Amino acid sequence: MQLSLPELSYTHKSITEFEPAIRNDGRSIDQLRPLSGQVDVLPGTNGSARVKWASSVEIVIGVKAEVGDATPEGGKYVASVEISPSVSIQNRETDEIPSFLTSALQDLLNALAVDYLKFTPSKAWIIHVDAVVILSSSPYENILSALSLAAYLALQTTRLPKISTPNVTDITIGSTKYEPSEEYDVDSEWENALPLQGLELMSVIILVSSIDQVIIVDPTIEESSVAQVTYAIGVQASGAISYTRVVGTGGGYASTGRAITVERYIELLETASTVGTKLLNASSDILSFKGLGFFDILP
Amino acid sequence: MSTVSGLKRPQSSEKNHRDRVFVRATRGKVQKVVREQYLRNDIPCQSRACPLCRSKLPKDSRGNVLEPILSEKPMFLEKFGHHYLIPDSNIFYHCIDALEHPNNFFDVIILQTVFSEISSKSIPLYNRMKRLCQEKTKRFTPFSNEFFVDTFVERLDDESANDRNDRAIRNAASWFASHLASLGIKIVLLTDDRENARLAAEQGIQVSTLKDYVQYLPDSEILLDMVSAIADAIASKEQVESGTKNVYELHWSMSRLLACIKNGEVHKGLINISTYNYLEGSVVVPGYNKPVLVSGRENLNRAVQGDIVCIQILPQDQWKTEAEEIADDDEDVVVSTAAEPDSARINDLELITKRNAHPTAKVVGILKRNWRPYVGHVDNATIAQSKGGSQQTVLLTPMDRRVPKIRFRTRQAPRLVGRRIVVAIDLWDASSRYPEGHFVRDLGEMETKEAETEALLLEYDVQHRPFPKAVLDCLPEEGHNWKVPADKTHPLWKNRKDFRDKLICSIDPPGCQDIDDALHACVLPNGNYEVGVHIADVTHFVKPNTSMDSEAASRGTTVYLVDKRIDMLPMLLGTDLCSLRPYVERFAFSCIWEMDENANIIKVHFTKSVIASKEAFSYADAQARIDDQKMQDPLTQGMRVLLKLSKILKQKRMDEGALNLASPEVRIQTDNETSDPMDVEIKQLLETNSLVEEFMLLANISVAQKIYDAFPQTAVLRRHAAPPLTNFDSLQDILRVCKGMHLKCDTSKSLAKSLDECVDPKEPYFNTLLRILTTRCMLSAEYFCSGTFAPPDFRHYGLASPIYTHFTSPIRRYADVLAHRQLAAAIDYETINPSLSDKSRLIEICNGINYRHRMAQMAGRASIEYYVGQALKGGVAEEDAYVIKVFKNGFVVFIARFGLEGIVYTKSLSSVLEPNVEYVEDEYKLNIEIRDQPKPQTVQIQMFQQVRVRVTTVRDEHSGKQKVQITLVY
Repeated sequence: MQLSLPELSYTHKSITEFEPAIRNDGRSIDQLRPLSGQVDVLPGTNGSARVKWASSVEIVIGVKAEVGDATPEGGKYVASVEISPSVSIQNRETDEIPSFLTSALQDLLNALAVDYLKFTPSKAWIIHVDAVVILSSSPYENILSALSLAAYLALQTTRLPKISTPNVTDITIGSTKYEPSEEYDVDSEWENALPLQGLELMSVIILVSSIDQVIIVDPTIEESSVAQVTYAIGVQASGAISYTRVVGTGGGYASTGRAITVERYIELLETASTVGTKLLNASSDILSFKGLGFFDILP
Repeated sequence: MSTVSGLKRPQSSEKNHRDRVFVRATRGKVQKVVREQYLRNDIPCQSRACPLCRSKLPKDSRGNVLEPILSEKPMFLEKFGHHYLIPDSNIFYHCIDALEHPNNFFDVIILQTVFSEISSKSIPLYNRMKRLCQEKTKRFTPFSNEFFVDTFVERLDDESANDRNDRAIRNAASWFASHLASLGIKIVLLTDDRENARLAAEQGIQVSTLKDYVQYLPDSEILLDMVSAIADAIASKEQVESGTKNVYELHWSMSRLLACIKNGEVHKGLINISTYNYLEGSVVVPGYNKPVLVSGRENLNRAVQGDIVCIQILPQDQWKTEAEEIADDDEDVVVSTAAEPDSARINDLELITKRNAHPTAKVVGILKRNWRPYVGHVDNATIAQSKGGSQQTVLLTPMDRRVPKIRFRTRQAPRLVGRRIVVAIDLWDASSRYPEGHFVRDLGEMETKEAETEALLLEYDVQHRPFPKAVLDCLPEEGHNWKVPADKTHPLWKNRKDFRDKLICSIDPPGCQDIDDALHACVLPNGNYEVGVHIADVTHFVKPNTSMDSEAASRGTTVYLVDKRIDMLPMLLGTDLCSLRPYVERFAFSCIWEMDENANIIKVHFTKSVIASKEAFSYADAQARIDDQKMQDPLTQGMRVLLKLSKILKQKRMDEGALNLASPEVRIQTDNETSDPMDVEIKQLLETNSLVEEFMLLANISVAQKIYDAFPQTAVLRRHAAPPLTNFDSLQDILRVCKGMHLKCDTSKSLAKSLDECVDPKEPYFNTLLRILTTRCMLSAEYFCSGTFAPPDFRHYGLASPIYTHFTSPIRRYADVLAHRQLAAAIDYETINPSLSDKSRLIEICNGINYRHRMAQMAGRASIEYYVGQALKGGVAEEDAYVIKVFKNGFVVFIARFGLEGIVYTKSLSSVLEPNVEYVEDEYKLNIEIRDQPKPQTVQIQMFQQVRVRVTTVRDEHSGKQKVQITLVY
């Protein structure tokens, strides 16, 4: 997005020349935009969530589990992100933004354990995490944070039908050519379906920008245009960092693109970690929220 | 501008719907399914007495209120008062036969919960329940309790699905009870589940087990027998489990079976029990070029004819040749639960190094039972006369020789003696020597025509109920007065040729009423012949997708029994409106050829037409007319042309390699008054038989080609696959050993040729006998849809025709009806109905008619067999017979005059000392040394040998049944 020099200068100055910094939308530097969400929005899926990030981004995610061929690791997670045609003309799978988002989401999912998804020697759960961006005020918006949070919530609500394999021991087989059974029984009761395991390794992505001496989280487009650098940082519930990546090196303002020091980098990570843990903690309440409509995760 | 509107479900706290979420696993897919279930408050109770539900009754399309079903004055019993019945799912599952009893169980409410539980367990049972609800007299009504706001129950957190369903049933029962309380009608909940009964009683519902309830009914004795053995078995399970030893090896668990099938350790297949030996079955398994034999009670391990079983191949040193012994069905009539092992029956497993040893196997598990109700009679020896009306266990000897005896309990044993009865198998435990079943129905006294015919129809699954009203409604309103419209501008005349002036006649067996076909021939000005085959235009009356059409499709074919015909189409069509009767005008579908002197087809043309047959001949009349040189009228001339051409056609066909196969066909002569069988004769074949046959074949072939050209993917054709060469192995070997002859079977042509050459001048009948045995090596012909096979496989082996269909008998075969419709579309007479170009549907129909066709053939044969037996009754006849199979302890003879096959046991040759028998297997020969004084002698029996036998009928002591006995005269 092209911004005029006065705009950039105004944004830069109000952040760097005041103590505390003044952001365009009145937030404090470590404050995320107000966000709300909803879980179990799609009854036909195994798990689903919808996240609204301020009034600029909205994402729906459905998780569908299907029985497929096992991989050497066990099962697998498959991410797919689509952009609604009403949001952007870049809505084909191969377009730059959807494929960037898909690979980012896949990176997050790849951290999860998949060995337990296999239930017979050749069959395993294949878990499709399908996201649709239904609102984004600009293609350069901070979609990643909303996407990762929606995925985190959707996975939390996901249930896999309970599968039992016959307990075939060598005695009942009585055979020299014993092969473990490919048979499995599916419990038809949805109530008995089981949650996913190892979700503590799922991260939420927090964007952090460094603007001169100030670190701000969840920058707006104007803010990231004046930042030296903006990092997308994956944060696990434990506060551990799982992922960092540079996104958007600014919009051409004087200070952008300048290298930062290691100390500065660690500072950025620490900020993200604090904010991320807070977000994940706040979002856990939504899982027990039974009412209709949106639940405010962070006002 | 149009507006889009939708109904939004209210998001109020008072939800009128429930979400039902469950997991569905089908074909490797596991899906979460969400159903929204809306609850209604307008479901009527269906009681005629109830004024409250009047306004809720549904209306038909004309706005008339559908009357409620349950009677206002239901059955009264001392104990329960006037009451309606609500049976739970298990009552239906185990005892539906009792509920179907025509004189008992009225005013029954089938809850939706019960319906859905049954439909997930057994679809045939579910269909029977639906039929029960349609039967007006029984007053069974479904009740949608799951959709009714007052009876819906939601599953509790720690409740199993079963418990919830039981609770739903109890809730519905209690709703009915309070709903009807003011009307003086009570509810009785029938359940055999103790816990359910206890909870129901706590809720104040009248509850009873089926057994207790039945005791109050007038026909309690019959009904108690029908209460399945399972109910008893469940009740006494605890006692049974301790102390009984297993007669059979336990079946493997399903998961073990499936794992072992996968790694090739066991094989699965359909078991076919030998008709000669019910203790020997065979399974065709890929990978073995011969059927795998399973012999002996232990190895069969409770497999019943038709079951899908898993077999484990036995070591090679236990392989043996097929059926060396005939199992005598007189053996073991002992009723005991733990019987001693049946050592006499198991063939001593000598090391066999014979050249044609079959692999043997044992059954280790059963994947799918194929049980049906079996017709049979009670074995008299198992009935204890003194016991009177109390319950006892008896054995049923099924009519089907391949089915083991069935044990069932009855209170009416003395009454069942000498009756044809139907019994269903319920279970077969490893600890029980025989399968356990329960009594279903009494068909009547044995040996009476009614009972035996009914039994036959049941055994061969022939649909013989009267045509339902919906079918009769499809008939033309004019009934027998229907006429071809006189006015030729009438729409029915459109695209129909007027052949009323052609000299058409029909030739059929004597007394034939359903005349499918008629013929004509005349000389054209150019010297060629015009030949026409006219087939009844059934499809004019039977339109696709009508009730009549689907009824005909499900019947598949008309079934001819000796004294009875079960029609595929209602009488009005079959014997009148469609039948090409003489002297009246009829619609026909004509196939007209122009042929030259040598019967080469110059031109063929198909058209719908109107004909007026000039005469209906029997084969003999037609023959007489042709032979009578005094007759020189054009009709007779035409018939002579037909005969001449048919001879050329036949010769051509034979040169192509068509097989002239024989199967013994006998005719029963019946007394005109009583229609009791008098005598048996072999059918005579006249030249006129083959006249008709040739032209029908020609018409079928021409039509097949035409419809295949028009519909390459969906034409309904008939094929006869070439039999695998191994089928002939044993016959070839027997021929080589016994007669020094060789049968070449690589193509139908060489087979036909070598069959002609295999003649024994000393035994004129030998050739026919050989043809009969060759026929038995063949596969059966089948209908198919052209898209399912490659064109080379369309071939009809027996007729040596590259393509074939059935077109000429639409009155009695459904395949012909399909061919008619396709041909009509192919000649642009009408547009094709979508159902005839739906390949998957046609495949389904073809499978159905193939099955019906097979069953009809077997039923017909069984009927003849029964009548031959009746005709022989009381008399003693000495006849020539031929040996067609040799076993260790007997041999099978074929009596040509009766078309009858029978077993002669070697031990029957002498009543004093059992003869010494030497079985020379390599030569298919028995040397029987009769040791009786004063004249000891040795009798040799070999394959194909002509022998003299005495045929008598004796009364079987055990069954009280007449049975044909054949003894050797030496």
